[in-house]
Amino acid sequence: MADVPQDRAVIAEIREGNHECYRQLVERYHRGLIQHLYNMTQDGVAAEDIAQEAFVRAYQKLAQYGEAYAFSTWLYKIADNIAFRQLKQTKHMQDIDELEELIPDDRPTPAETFDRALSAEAVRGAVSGLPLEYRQTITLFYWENRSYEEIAELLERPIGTIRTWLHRAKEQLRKELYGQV
Amino acid sequence: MDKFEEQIKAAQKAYEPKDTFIDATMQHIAAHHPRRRWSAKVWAPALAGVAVVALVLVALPISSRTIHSSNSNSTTTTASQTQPSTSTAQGSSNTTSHPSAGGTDNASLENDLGGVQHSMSQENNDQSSANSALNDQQNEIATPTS
Repeated sequence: MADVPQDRAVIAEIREGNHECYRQLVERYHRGLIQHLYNMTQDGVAAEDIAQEAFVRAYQKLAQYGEAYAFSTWLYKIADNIAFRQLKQTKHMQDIDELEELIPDDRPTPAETFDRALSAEAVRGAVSGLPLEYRQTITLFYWENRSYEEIAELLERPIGTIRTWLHRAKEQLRKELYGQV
Repeated sequence: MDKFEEQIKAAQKAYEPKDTFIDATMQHIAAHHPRRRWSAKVWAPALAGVAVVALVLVALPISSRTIHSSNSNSTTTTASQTQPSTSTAQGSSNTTSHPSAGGTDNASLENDLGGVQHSMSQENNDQSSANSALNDQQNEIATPTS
């Protein structure tokens, strides 16, 4: 996904004053970033708003970009920070409410369980109800095909922690969807 | 990957961003950094103006200071002329600093001389104007009145 040498060349151009070159970075990463944020928020408008703010902040702080990691990783970190703050302020409680609507209190029949297990909507609803760290680990690993190492770098946590989060997230999803661990 | 994990993986919903996203983002960036667009057009003339004002502010005090220093040099010259024997009596080591002081004394003396000449020419002008006025009066007296 990321083209590190080409990104560095573009960033060097921007730093020399050719600011219109930033469009190349926006064109290259906006789809992946918006999809990543949509996976997190399940809200297209919010995903685009956060992505736009992330691009603006990345541009404003481009002088601080140290090239210790890829530009895309840095951009995703900025976007995740914005998303975390917004989700913690507003969306998290709504997600839990939506999840409670999706999953009734009484245990479903086996047929209902099978239907719901096949329902992608139900899975997405269950993922939305996970704590932020679990939700992000699930979406990065299963939906964006990131490795443990990449997730650890993005979330700035040890790989062991990422494995633990993924395991617990799956347990919680299984419990939410099937009513069992 | 077991069946449950496959179900999770298959649950992803693709989202297609709006076509206007890139243009809107670039406009947003430009709006957040207006100074990047007109910095050269605005700051260069502004800096030139500030430089001119600074030059004027620096040049005026320097010119007035030179006038003051020339005046003070003339006064110190007269003061030093009153006691020339004390400096020479203090020893030969003091004489090394005298050439520059002598130079300024000469300059101040020249200034004083110029001032005296100026005042003399002013007096001459006054005298000539007084003479012309006197001539006019004499002409009026000499002119017969009807």
